[in-house]
Amino acid sequence: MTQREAAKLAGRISGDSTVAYAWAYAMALEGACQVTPPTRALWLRALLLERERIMNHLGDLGALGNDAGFAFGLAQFSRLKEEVLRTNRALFGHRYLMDAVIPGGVAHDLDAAAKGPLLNEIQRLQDAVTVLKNIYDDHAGVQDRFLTTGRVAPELAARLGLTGFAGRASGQAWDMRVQFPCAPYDQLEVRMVTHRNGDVAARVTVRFEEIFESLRLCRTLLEQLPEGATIADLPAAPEGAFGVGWVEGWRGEILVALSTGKDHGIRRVHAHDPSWQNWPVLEYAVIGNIVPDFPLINKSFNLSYSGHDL
Amino acid sequence: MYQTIKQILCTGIKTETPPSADDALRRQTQRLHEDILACFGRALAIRHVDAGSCNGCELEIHALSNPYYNIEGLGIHFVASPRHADLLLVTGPVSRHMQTALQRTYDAMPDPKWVVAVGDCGCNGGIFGVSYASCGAVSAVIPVDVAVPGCPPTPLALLQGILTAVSKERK
Repeated sequence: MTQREAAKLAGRISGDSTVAYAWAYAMALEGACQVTPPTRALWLRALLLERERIMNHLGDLGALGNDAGFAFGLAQFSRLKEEVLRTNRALFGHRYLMDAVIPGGVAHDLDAAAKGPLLNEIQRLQDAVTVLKNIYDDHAGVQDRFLTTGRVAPELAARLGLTGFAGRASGQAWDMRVQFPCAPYDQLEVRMVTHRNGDVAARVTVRFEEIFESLRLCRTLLEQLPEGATIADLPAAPEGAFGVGWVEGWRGEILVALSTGKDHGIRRVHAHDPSWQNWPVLEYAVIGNIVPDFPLINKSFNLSYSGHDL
Repeated sequence: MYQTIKQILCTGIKTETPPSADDALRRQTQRLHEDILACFGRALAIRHVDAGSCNGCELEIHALSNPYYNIEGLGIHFVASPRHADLLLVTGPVSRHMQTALQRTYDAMPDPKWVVAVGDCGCNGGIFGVSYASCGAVSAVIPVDVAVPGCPPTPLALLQGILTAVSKERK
């Protein structure tokens, strides 16, 4: 498998994080080749990554409502998610944005005419999620299930290295978009969302707030999108070159370390999913909870099987 | 409560028309008699097994339950045991770890039964292919009635595949 073909495989390590993986892999390969993609490509990658974050949080917030016996939540959020997926298909060629990020840049440029509809969609989502957040917040039954359920105290989270939004909901203030920002995040001033309660309710709150923050980022990315090329030529990396890619995916930090081989091949590559750190914490999170709360706790993390089992 | 009802009314009904069956998706000739098919009607119970997918296909299977596709509205629902299932929906290349589990799931299902293989991986092993860790296509492990290609297949393609499996073959 060549270095370029492997990009497709990287995007299929965990399908729900395909943009994050494809970007981390591309960043690693670009590092090995010593190439910087065009600015516009990096901004478009960030747009895709934030859309992936929004899409996944929408889906899980719906499922969390459903697991608390509030089917209305699933119907509403899965509808919003479907609408985001359909926009993805229309503008970026794939519902889940697979193969949209490629080594050297992005596969699809964004048409100038698409900016307006995308900004409208951001506003529509902002309004709809605000209404739904109020409904969740005011629903005594739902809050009764969410609050104090599946608690991971900040000390435990720190000891076991809980990462991503689940870590941030347990007082672990780490977000690679903030502390180790790659372009364009170094210009976006991402507002990190944190919470200290570490229960299902805290993870739900963090997810809601991250949707709002991602919508704000998408708006900025669209309004200030630089002009220019969307792909750079990748020269062949010499054998034994090394590259690292790091991306804050929706679930947490994703790292790809790559060492090149002969004839555009790969000598070694390691792709690291946040689920590696978070699965063992889930085991602690369920201790002392009633059995019907297990699906709720599980969904509040929504860890990847394939990303962990790769 | 007022906000919830208002939101339901403002959203309206989003459900779209389901696709019709497509004989091109069949991998083998119809195994069941027409009279049995008539008995099933569209009250179909599906058991889904992830035999090693990247979870892309799972996202689209979940999407089948959203209001746009409303698979439950067609009388099709997902069950938690193969004993309750009429149709086995399999995603992913079959990893060696899942080979026995998949075979046993198939064996545990009561006859008559169908198998639908989902996605490029389910159809032919996809990008993962056959290796020390992967058996490749679902048909390498259990008999497959209908295979739905795509990476991942859209919910419409999935629905079409499922409806093809349980509909009468056009001769």
